[in-house]
Amino acid sequence: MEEVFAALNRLVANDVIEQYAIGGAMGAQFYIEAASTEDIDAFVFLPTAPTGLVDLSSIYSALTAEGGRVNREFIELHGWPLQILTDANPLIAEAIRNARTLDYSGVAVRVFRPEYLCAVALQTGRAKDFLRVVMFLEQKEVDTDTLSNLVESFGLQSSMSKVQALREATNEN
Amino acid sequence: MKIDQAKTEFNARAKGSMRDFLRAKSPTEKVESIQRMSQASRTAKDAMKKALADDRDRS
Repeated sequence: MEEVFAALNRLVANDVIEQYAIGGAMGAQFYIEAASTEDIDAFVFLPTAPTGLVDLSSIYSALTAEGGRVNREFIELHGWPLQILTDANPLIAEAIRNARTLDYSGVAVRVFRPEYLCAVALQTGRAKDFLRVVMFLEQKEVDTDTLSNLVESFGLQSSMSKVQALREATNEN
Repeated sequence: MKIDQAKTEFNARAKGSMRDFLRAKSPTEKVESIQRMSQASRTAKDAMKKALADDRDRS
């Protein structure tokens, strides 16, 4: 996986993208014990094309030159399925900006902080995303005050209520 | 279409592509995938432990 992170770092160094950070299930693996599929979610600041359309061609070209193979809307790179996801809203943009840099087998990698992993999961709103937030809370790997502030700032109260209900139901069983 | 909406729709398509790809794996491929991910997960947690230890050393 470090080859994938190195390739993402080169995208930044070569000005193909401004910045990236790992989120989703792989991002969560840095903090919690949870089963996960092997896909890697890399959220990027995407330059706006003059047409106003989403255009990842420069990213795909650079990753193809790194040995990647485009498969619909993701890339297989060094044996790992890599999703390039965009800074589609202010929460994701803030999560990318505030990501933490870690050393993964000698390669720097930027990873969402746990509170942002939870907030983005709340925003995505699928059952598996809510379960991931429950795991962060249960494993005490999140600063609850910071998460509460994000929930308030980005209007995620409804999703957070569902997570609390799910957490209570889980603890009752 | 506003750019944020276009980006949101792109992200949804990307997640759909990945979901289809992962679902199409054979049972053998799924087992291999779990094993690779377990190793990656261990390395990720080691990276976080080291970062937290470095934080403590600095403070």
